Amino acid sequence: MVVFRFVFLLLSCILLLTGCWDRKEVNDLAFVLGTGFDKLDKNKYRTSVQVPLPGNSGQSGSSSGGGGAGGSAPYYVDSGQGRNIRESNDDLQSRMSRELFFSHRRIIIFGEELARNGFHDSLDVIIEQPQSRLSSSVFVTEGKAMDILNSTPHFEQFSSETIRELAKGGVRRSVKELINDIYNPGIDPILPIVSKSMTQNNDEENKKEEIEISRLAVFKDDQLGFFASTEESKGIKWIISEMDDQTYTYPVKDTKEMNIRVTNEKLKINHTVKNNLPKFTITINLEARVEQNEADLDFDNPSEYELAINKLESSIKKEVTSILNRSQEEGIDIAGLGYHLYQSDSLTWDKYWADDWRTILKDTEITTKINAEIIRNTSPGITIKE
Amino acid sequence: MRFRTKGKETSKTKQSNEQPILSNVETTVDYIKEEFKDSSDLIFRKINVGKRHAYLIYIDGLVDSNRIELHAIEQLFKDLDDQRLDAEMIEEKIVSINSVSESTTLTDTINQILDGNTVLIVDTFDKAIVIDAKGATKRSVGEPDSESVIRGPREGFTEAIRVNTSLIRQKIHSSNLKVLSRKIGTETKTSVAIMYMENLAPPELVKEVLARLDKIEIDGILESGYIEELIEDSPFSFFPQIQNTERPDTAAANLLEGRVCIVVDGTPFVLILPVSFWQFIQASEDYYQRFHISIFLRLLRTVLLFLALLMPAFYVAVTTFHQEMVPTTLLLSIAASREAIPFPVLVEALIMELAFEALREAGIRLPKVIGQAVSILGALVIGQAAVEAGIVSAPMVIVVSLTGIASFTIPRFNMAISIRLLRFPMLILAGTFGLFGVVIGSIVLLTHLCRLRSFGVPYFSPLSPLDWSELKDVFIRVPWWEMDRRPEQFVKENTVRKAKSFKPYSEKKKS
Repeated sequence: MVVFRFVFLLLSCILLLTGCWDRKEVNDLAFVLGTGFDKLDKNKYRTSVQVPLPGNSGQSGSSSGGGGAGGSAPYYVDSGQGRNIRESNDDLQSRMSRELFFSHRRIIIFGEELARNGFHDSLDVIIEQPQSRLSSSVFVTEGKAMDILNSTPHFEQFSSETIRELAKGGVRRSVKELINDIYNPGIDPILPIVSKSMTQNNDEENKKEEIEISRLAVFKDDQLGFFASTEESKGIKWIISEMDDQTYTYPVKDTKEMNIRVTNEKLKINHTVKNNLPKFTITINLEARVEQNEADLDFDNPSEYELAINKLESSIKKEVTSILNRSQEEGIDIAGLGYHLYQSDSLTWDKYWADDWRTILKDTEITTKINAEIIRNTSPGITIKE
Repeated sequence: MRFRTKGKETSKTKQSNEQPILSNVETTVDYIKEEFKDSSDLIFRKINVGKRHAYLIYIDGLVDSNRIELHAIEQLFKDLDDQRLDAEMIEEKIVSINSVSESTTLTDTINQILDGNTVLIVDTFDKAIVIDAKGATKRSVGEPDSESVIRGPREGFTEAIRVNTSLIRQKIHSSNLKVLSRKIGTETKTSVAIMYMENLAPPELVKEVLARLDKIEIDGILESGYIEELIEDSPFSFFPQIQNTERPDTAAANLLEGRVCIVVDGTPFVLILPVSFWQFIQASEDYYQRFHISIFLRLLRTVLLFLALLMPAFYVAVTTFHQEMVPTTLLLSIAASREAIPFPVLVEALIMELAFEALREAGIRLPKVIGQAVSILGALVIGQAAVEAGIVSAPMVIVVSLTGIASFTIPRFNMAISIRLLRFPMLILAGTFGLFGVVIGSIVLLTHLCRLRSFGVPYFSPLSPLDWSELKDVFIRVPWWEMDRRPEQFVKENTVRKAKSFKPYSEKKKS
């Protein structure tokens, strides 16, 4: 009995003396939903965060929460400055009554200036912080990252949420994938570009800033290579196999277009070596489903089917070769050709190509082959007999 | 130990009365009168049998006076040939009551009177005639309130031990069903019946039960709960190691699985032992409804058992220590509803849990009419007003009420109260150590459960020690045509319950 009492005393000591030492109440935390990193000056950085205001969220059940849906935004954006990202975080924290909590950050945006100067250090901070998620998506923007966080899109409560949902349907790069792309040899990362646009309606008062993700940025290691145009971005998407379940429109006759949805895209890289120089063949095999057949092509007729396929293949090929040429000129390897060599022929890669890959790439011959197949037709619609 | 009275002293004084009944009737009556001093309910009915004095002695209210009048007094008043009159003759020819016996000592006579029997002592006889005409008030057999079913027998045990044993006998018409009797309690002398199937229950088990029962020394047994606490394997454990039931069908089913039932006079709750943890989340109806729904319900109950134990703890741990585990949007709504709450989550949880327990306790003992008022008050005041006033957050109300509902789904009340109690240590562990504390608490709990024994049978069986074939009747309930063996945990011989492969099939198809 004495032993029992003693053990009980010890156990209660553990409970009572430790208290709740790691305890953090939900309302002592500022949940960062998205972060933007900007470079202001030489060695001067700005971190902006988007933080929800639970009291303003206007959710049912928070009737006690004071403001309610009082019209004010359910979040606010604040930023801190410093000589590096950490210091700017500390600067920000000194203005916040609640502790910054990064575990729910799903959006990271690099500003243009920072991207041009290389985002390596900023990305390192994210990895070093144990709270960060490697699954959060990374974006780049033309201009300042803070402006994107400040925009007020219609559908979602937070612009971060909008960006995340938008990225789901297109190209998405997580922190983990980005790190892989940077550290793997012979491949350069791609990041989607978030940009602001306005609601396109004639109601001037109801215009609002919306967020758009339609283009991609090409990086050379961690430095921005160039912002690709919309056309080029399509080419990149073919190369990095991101076209599965995406729509594509191409002309078949004068003003008659064909709309397809890619059901299956497979990219294959083959290489041959001649005089210690590699030669590549990029083969894209795709299956597609017709969504609209404006030209009323009859797919049972082999010649018309061939027409549709050839136009599709040449359209894709044009896009792919144009972006490949541009990136090749700048010595950027978006397709991961070097990585392909590294994986399939690593000894030769180490010996001849690894050190000087970017210059070798400039003179490398790349052939592209597109094999398209339309596997499913749509309903013929109304056919007017002539 | 403290509560056990020194029964030996009292029994010693009684032992000195182990004297035979004297043939002088007046002396005997005087002795009994002395023994029952100040007992106004003891009746001495003086009659003359032939030419001898005789007394009918009984306790008023315990006997069926109609039967005594018709079959004893009236018969004895008849003209009798005095010479040939002796005890045997009265027993065999005169008293027309089905159960008549003899008693030779005064102690025994007194005990018989206390049992509710009527004692006839006749002058010059050196023995008393015990007439069994008990007639104490009995409740009729009704539907058991604590274990109601949609499908299944509607009869429940009553307070009378004979009714209860007969109810079980009515289910099992077999001479293998044995009923042993014991009297426990130095003052109450409560009848206790130990029932078991001779061909199924292991003899060691029966022996052990009897040994533990015989060891009990207490002044009174008023409910089977007394016995339960006095014969448990681990008296300090939170978990009940003996099951109780109000349903004869449950008792019969357990007897058929080789378990032992203890029927105690004066209570409708029959003890069943040994028992495993999983039996407490099984309802008798599981075996009566179709097996699909039984499987679903058992799985549901298993999940809800965890919820009932861990849900508030998990909520507290996650919202105060591991915010990164909550989906973002859910966390934001929790944060929004907690915005104006002045208390930490742990305190909030404790307030709500205690309020809920208080409500439940208040509701149980109140008359039904006022009980409704309590539930309205509880739902309104605790639920809505507290949230609107910003004392507790809405998610906490949801968590607590879900926990409450989950604990109501545990079919056995004694297990439900264990889980209810254990919720609080878990809550505090979660509040101090987060999920780490919850895990530590669960490990301690599991270790304890695995260590427990109920009359030598591992409490957590058949999960630990694992026995695949026994799992047919734990989380799921296989159809009856698949249940061809009895639980082998303690039934060693005679494990075959029914012929194998008794799955119904069409004769035509087979040929």
